[in-house]
Amino acid sequence: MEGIVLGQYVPGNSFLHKLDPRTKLIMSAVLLWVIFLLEGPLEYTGFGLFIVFLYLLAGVSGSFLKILRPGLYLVLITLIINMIFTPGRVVLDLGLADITREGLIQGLTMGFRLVFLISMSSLVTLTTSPVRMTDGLELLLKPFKKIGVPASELAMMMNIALRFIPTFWEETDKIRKAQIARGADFDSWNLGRRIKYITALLVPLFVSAFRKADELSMAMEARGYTVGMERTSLHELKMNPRDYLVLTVFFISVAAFVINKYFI
Amino acid sequence: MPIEFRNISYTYSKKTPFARKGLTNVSLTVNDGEWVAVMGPTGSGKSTLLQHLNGLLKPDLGEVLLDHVNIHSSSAALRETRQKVGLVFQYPEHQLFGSTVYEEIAYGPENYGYAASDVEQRVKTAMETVGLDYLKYKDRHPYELSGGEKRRIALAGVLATDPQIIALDEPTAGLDPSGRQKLVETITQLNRDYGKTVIWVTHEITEIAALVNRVLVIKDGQVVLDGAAREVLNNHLMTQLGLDVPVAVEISHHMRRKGKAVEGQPLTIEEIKKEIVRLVR
Ligand SMILES: Nc1ncnc2c1ncn2[C@@H]1O[C@H](COP(=O)(O)OP(=O)(O)O)[C@@H](O)[C@H]1O
Ligand SMILES: [Mg+2]
Repeated sequence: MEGIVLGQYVPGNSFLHKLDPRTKLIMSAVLLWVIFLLEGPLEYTGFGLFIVFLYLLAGVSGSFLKILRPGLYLVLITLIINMIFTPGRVVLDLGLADITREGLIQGLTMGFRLVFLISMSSLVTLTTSPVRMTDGLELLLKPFKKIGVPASELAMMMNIALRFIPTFWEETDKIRKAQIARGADFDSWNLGRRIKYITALLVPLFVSAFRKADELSMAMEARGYTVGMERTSLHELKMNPRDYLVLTVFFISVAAFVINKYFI
Repeated sequence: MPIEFRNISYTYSKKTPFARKGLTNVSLTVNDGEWVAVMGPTGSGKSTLLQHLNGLLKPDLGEVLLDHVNIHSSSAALRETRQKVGLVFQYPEHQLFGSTVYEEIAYGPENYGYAASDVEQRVKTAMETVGLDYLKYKDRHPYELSGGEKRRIALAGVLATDPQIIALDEPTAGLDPSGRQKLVETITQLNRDYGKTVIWVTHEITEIAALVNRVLVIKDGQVVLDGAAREVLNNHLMTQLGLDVPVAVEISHHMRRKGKAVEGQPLTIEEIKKEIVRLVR
């Protein structure tokens, strides 16, 4: 349970780190949509290589597998369920269940999509500090303020959530260790015992989350935080020429991909 | 049942940008019935050391031997180690989960599969040891009790499996003076009357200076001082590292700086008082 977890920021100096958070947020949003347009092994391979390239570029390739680990079960389950329950031409007869060609393709497609979704969205948090992320989000949401979207509050909530993910993991780790020290076996196959262990883990975790939330809101209010107040930033975000360049190249590429795919 | 560390090294978050040295080549043996205080600056590796005692962390290099057996040699050995080495974490009251005090304390013995009657006996004994009345407390909700009481419940939860070695991570931190004193008394009783080995991580040595046999000081994951309490606490490295020393030691350092010939290595108020009286005569 040590090391990098979902939503963690890895400080660095790469090209991706230096991009404005707005650029990254916009591009990742578009790329998350592109994932659902992908078809055929060629496009999937291409996109996969592109993600690997981005991780290398950001210098966070070491985090790639760690990020995926929590999602891996989800991917495996998706793969297996799809493989077994999709009707079609049987390629492998396992007696009880048959694996069909269609199921295999369907499962792999879903599996890869999940992997892409997780790794793509993690890339943004890996290369953007929570503070910059919040500022970026706030600015992106600003136009919607007129229609009553509480932009700064949403951004603040997001920032707090991001900030507390590692803390929450640490807390979980600590409580889990305390339970193991008293003979809990979290790998037990006995369902009843497992439920007991999980309860023993969740109760203190929730208590501590509420305590933390309480302390934090008190500290924020003590320092003058009020909902709806106009606030300024210590570090103003500024779009640099490289952001405009990257965005231009990016949108041209995506447009070319879509046009090539659907209109030619 | 001696516990021995042989050249233990441990790194957190290995092979990531967050890698941090926890321990580096630590070797030590703690013998039966000893009471060892572990001191060191924040982040020096004290908690990491404790978590190696019962195999919560597995050393990257070296081995931990309990009664001459490598605790990671089999899952049975590891299980036995966890039963024999009780670990009380820092702020253990934050880990309480039971809806009653009984349920909380019975967790350990139940996990180790003792019969119900046996579990009850163990809970009773553990509560008695930490000074909580069985009938009065057993059905109460842990969360409605005071901080000091919660801490004692957490301690009872560890004692209920009857460990031979008790390791505590800053057990008096955040307690009021009377809570501290009660806790020190409980541990003293366990050490003196029941011969339990005690490993006590602390920032504040004064409250146990006269009780411990040995003080171990770690810095940056390495043992820098290890010896009899009197010698280690009088070592100048202690003050250089900014670690707490008993008032008597501080006074004697001060008097020596002023040119007074303080003899020996006074540790308690009584001892320094005798020296002062001797010097002014
Ligand atoms: N779960 C963890 N993940 C990563 N690093 C850790 C973890 N726990 C401790 N460390 C690091 O290991 C070192 C020793 O920590 P610790 O044993 O907790 O010190 P102490 O208890 O003496 O204050 C510190 O540098 C700390 O930051
Ligand atoms: Mg510690």
